[in-house]
Amino acid sequence: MIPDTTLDKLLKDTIAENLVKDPGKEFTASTVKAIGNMQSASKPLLSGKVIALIFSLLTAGTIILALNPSSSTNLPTGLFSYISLSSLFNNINFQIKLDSNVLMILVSSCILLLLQLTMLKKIILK
Amino acid sequence: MNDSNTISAWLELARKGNANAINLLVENHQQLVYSITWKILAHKEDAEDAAQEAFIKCFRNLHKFKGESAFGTWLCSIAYRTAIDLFNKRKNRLARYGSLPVDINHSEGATVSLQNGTESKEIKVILKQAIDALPTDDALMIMLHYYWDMPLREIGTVLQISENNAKVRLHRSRIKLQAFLKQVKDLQPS
Repeated sequence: MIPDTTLDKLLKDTIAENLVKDPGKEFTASTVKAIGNMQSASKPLLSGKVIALIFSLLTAGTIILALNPSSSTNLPTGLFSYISLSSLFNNINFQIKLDSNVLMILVSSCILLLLQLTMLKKIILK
Repeated sequence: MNDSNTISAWLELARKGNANAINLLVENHQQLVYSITWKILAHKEDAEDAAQEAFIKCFRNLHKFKGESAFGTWLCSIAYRTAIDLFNKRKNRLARYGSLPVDINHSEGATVSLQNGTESKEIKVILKQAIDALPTDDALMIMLHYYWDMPLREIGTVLQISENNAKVRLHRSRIKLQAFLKQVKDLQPS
C-alpha cells in the first residue's frame, strides 16, 4: 500500500507530466478575435436607455401638443409622427377643447409615459 | 494563475470591452479550460472548439457572473458543460480513450522515491493508465484537485454535484487507484 502523501505527490506529478499542452498563442488570438466579433455583433446601435429616453420625450411632446395644439404650427411638420398628427389637427382648424378625444389622447399618453418611465428606471437601475 | 484581485481587475476592464484584459483572461485560463475539454473529448480540434466556445459563452454572459465562486470555477463549469454537449453531439467515443500527448514543458517533473525503492517513473506510467481507466468525471476530478489545486466545493460546482458527493467520489477514485497499483505490483515478479 502506497502512503497517502506519496500517492498525492505521485498523482500531481503524473498529471503534470501528462497534461495536455497549452493550445498556444494562436488559440489565444483567435479566441480573443471571436470574443471581439461577438461583442461588436451584440452591441445595439442605440442603447436601451437612449431608446427609452427618445420615446419618453416623444410622449411628453404629444401631451404638450395635445394640451396646446395651436403652438404646434411653428414646429417642423413630418419630423415626428406625433407632431404631424397635431399639425393635421391645426390644418383642419381643429379647435382645442377638453372633449372626449383630447381626453383620450391625454390619458393614453400619460399611461404610455408612466410605462416608459418605469422601463427607463428599470434600465437605469439594472 | 494570477491572484483573485488581479483577475477581478481584469474582469472589470473586460466588462467595459477592454481587449487587452480579455486577452489576459483568456491567456491565463486557456490551459485549464483546454485540459477539461480535452479530458472529455480527447480530440485536439474538438477540444479547441469547445474551449473557444466556452470562452465566448463566458464573455457573452460576463454580466451574469456575480463572483459567488472564483472566475476560474465559473469558467470551468461552462467549459465542462460545453464539452459534454459537444461530446453528446458528435458521439466521439472512439477517441475518448486515446492517450494524452505528453507536455514537453512538464516532462522533467520531480520524481518521487517510494519506500521500497521501486522506480517512480514506472509507477507513474501505471498510474497514468489507471487514471485513464477511470470514468471521465472521476479522472477530471483528480486532475482538477491534484493538478489545479481546486477545492472540493468548487469541483462540485464545476461537475454540478454537491461538495460531499465530490469528496466521496474523490475518495473512491483514490481507493481504485491504490487497488490498481497494488494489483500491478503483486503481478510483478519479485
